[in-house]
Amino acid sequence: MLTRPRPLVLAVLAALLVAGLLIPAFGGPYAVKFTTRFIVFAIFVLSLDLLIGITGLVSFGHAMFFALGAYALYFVSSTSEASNALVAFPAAMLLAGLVAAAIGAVAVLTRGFYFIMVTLAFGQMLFSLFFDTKIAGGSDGAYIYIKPAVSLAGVTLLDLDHRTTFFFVCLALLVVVYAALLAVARSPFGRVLQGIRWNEGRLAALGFNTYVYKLLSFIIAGAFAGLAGVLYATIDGYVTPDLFGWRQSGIAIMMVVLGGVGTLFGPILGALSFSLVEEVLKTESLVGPIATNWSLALGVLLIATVLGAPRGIAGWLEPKRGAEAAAAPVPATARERRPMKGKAIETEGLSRAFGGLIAVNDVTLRLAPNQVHGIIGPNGAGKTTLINLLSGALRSTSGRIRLDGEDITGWAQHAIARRGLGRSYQRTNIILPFTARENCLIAAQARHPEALRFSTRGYAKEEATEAAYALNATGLAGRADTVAAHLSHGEQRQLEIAMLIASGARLLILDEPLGGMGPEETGRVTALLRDLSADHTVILVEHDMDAIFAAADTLTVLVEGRLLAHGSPQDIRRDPAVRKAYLGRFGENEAVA
Amino acid sequence: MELVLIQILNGLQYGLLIFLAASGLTLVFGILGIINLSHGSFYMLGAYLSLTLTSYTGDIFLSLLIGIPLAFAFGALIEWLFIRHLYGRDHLQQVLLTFALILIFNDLQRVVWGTRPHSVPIPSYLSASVQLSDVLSYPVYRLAVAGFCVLLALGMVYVIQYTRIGQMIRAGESNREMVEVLGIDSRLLFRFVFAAGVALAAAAGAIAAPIDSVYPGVGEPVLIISFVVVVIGGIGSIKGAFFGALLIGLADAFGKVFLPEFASVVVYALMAAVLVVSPGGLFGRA
Amino acid sequence: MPKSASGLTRRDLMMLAGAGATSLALPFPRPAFAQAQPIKVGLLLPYSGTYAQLGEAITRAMELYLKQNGGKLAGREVVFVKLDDEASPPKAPELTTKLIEGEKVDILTGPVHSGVAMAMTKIAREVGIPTIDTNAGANIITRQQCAKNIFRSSFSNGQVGLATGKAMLDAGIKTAVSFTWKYAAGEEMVEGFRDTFTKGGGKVLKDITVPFPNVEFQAALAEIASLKPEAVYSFFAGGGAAKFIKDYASANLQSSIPLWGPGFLTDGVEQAVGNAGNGVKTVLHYADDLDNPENKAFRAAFNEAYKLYPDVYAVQGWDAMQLLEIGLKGVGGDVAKRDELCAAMSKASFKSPRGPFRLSSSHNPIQNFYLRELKDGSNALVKTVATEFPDLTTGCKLSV
Repeated sequence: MLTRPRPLVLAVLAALLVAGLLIPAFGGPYAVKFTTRFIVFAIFVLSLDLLIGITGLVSFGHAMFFALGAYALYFVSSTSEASNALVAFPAAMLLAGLVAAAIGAVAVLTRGFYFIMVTLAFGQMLFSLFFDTKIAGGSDGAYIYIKPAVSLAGVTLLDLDHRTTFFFVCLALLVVVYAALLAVARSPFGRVLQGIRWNEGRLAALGFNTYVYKLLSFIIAGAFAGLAGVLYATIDGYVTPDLFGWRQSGIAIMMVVLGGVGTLFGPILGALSFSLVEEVLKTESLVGPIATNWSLALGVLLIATVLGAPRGIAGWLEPKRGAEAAAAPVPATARERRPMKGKAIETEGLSRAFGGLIAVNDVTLRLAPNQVHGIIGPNGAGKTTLINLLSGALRSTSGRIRLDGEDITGWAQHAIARRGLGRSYQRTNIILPFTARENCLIAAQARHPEALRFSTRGYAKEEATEAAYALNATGLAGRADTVAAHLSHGEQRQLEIAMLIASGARLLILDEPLGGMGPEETGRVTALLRDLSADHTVILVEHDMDAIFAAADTLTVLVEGRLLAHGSPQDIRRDPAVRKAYLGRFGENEAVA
Repeated sequence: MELVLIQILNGLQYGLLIFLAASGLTLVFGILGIINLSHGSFYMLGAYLSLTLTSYTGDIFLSLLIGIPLAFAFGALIEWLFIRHLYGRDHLQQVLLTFALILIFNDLQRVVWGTRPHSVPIPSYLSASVQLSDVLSYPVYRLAVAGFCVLLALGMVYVIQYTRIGQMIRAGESNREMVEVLGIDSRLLFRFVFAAGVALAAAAGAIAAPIDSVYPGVGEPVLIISFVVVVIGGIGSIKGAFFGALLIGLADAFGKVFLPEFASVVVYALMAAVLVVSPGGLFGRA
Repeated sequence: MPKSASGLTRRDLMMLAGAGATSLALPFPRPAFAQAQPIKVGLLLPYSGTYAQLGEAITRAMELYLKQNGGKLAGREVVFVKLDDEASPPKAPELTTKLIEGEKVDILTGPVHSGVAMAMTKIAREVGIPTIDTNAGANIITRQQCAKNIFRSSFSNGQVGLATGKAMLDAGIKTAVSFTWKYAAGEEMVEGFRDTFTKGGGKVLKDITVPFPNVEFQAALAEIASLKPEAVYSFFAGGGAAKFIKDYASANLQSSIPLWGPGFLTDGVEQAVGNAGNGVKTVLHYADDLDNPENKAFRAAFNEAYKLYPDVYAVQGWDAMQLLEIGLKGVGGDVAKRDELCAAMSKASFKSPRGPFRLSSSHNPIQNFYLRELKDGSNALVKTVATEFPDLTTGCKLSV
């Protein structure tokens, strides 16, 4: 998770800020203008890093919001008097944000490479719109004749036509935007965005509506890009449709990657070094004949950076997050144990077909609260499909599902999760780059999953307590500050259970929680599952017959998608149909063991 | 009616040409997992190779015979020098590196071939035109280009369906881990696929050179349109690239006639529509 | 993250110092040049990308002119500062500022791309630096946005269109279809053409456009064929023009519907189109085989220096230098006297390889236009279609 910048980083940023403040005094007018332009680009790439680095949405059309911001100034400006920056700047953010909302609503449906291409396509569409039509000056661009001023109640406070004034305004805005985006990224809202970057499925299964989160991130990034755009247009008073082009978006991505993805401060350094390198390479009086082949030289430098410093400039300033074994203490008795009623779940004629194959066939089942329910069956019996149906990861073909009497058939996964259903997966599904504690904290946050939470206030204590409780319960307290990727396989599986506990789920569906565990760990986790049934309902799919017979209160046997038997472990052990159809395959002795 | 028929012909011919470029892109993305922004540069390379080689051999098809293996070798070299360091890395680093390659190739092009637009002669035996209506006729060379593209497409089908290397490609297409499981030397496979992708792009650039003329940056529009095709067809799917390319070709041809105000938006709108209905493209696996 | 007591290591501190040093070094203050220093002329031109050839031609002509004058104009040494504008409008404000304030040039010249010119001339107007547009034809530069320090050694889009429309009427053409890229230059050239053509009794059947820089023309060709006009008026440039001429020829349209256009349709692509271009008629302010001593001398010198013959872009670069020299002579080489320098340039009248050259009240050239026909890879002069032909000065408040 994004931490507060370490002292070295803050010191570098402070040094840059001081250098920036000195420029008007020592640098001359060109230096002021050059730096202003760099600052504007820094704001732009910062907003892009919120998308790329924090949320994991690689947008290849981010320049469109920059361009919209720039054109917003054109729209609000007249030829006779200066527009008011206090109107123009928010208008730019509003225009860019509104368009981002409309485009994002569609684009966010896709992911990965498709998202890259959809954003590229929307950028090109807007480019064509401004290039081909006369809505704003057409292909050659348009002028803003009078630069905006900051005025209040008719009194002009700051004239942005004055270069040094404008420079300080931009510098102040850069600081504000950096602080704001850092705060957003580290807020409960931003934590979810970071989680989405690494494991969107997990966040959805915890009950977060990831679509809404991604869309909000897209809108916020768009609005800040719009702010950068309106500043750009203020510098020289010229806007051109080429601002929408994919090359502009591409260069912004370059700056982000060069600086260090997902660090927020990195892209600022990326923008600075990219601007400086290009400036130097194109200046004949400095580099001589290389200036003729500046793009070749720039290309070679970029390749060297990618191959030599894959984490960008930020990689030099910030150590890679390693296994940090020394854990800050986790309070041993974080909270008192509160016996709670688990949630009951029942199905009625539930079926799911994949083409011609009926994976789950007319299953009617009632699973009582505060018990451990085992689901067993041979491979391909439809166990995983069944729990995918229960948790909403799959839609049923027919039949109903009720959770504590409430019909949840056809609900989205996150909506069902919010009703208290938590699930784990066959392949461990946690957020690998986060520590165990961070994983649990983000899960605890699912207790209040509304998207627009920018402050930890109110719930911070509750969430810390719940996370600590979950870590203790699963025996991970000593590993709380270890990055999940560095945990052992067994620990990772326990962490997933810890996340479900922290999330406040009252019905846990666990898909092979014992998979790959040694005997000792198996014993511990089995005991944990028994223990959990005091305040949860637990549904268990497991191949370890000894463990599941020991742990479960009831067993459900599926064969070829049909419900073969349901009852206590003793009943199931004695059931001749089960023995014939399923347990027989393991041999008589094993079955009775 | 006549106009409709002619536009169908135009759309198909244009679509087949983009298919060549897009098929290389989709293979490289589907199997190597590499986003290759420099694909347009390889199209440009093909165009300039055909310019130089045709000036020696005098015939575009002879130049193709020499040029395509040259481009293949060049592709293998680029893979060895740069691309192989990117496997398994973040998409963003791939974007950065291949963007840098564009900068480099553009500059090298200027140094080697200069900045003037050039033309590659159409062979005399294909320079005739077929009369379509009383005033309009259709150049035979364009038909030959379409035929050449179809031949290459059939060749690709053969290689992918009936050869060992094709088997590996199919394995990689459906599941990249499968390649390792099958005990295939993925380094060689990857080099082959990347080189083949470069060769396909270069072939497209070369065969189009006599119609398109040869100038700096000739590959750039091709890059964007190829990406659109790959996305519409579904990443990694040759079949998808084929139908996606024809769809784009037709949409472009009809868009220009029936929606001239929005001609440049039509293909992108089509792509957005396809992705909303089927987020993994027409034949994608995602 | 574990934090050490100070939070900083020694290595950290060294890097910190480095970062500070870098940031203070930016962005390379350069010494201002005293009067004894050479006059600096900035060239904001495309040296990479699709327009690179044009940028190169203009630069070569300017360098040749300077060389012929021993590196001096009006007794002062002159140096060029070249900057690649990449034909990218978003970068144009930045690069213009770099030339004016970073490199501290005294005179600004360039560019090729109209979008770049829009940004460049806006800043130049604000700063007041004497500026010569060496190619970009956007009407607005010498119409609504004309300024006392902005000059053009090339043409305006409308002017070329107006002249071509006249030439087509003179050739007895009554109906035409216009066909161009959908962008400002194309639209302005069509607008000018339409102006004279319809006023003279001609009829434009349809305006067809394709998105810039799309080069897939078959759909439009089919439409042109179905409209059956007496001629097509079309504007494309560079690679797009070469492809269009070849497509037009291979659709066998050239015999039934002759192709006309502004000279840019064929200039620079004569070799690229080969025989396919035979019979294409274009109108421009220059023709290779103009029979005047200035043109002959210029072509010979250019060919001797660069082993190739100059095109219209080179002529525009050459005349930018002639114009500048007149201006500098007017102030005895003192570039600080900007008003006097501009006043001298606006009164300039000289013999160009293109014929007589003088400026209108809005600083656009008043020049001859020539009808040329493309034959076997070269534009052959047919006749002069307009003598000392001015552009409109719509919206310009300057007066002579």
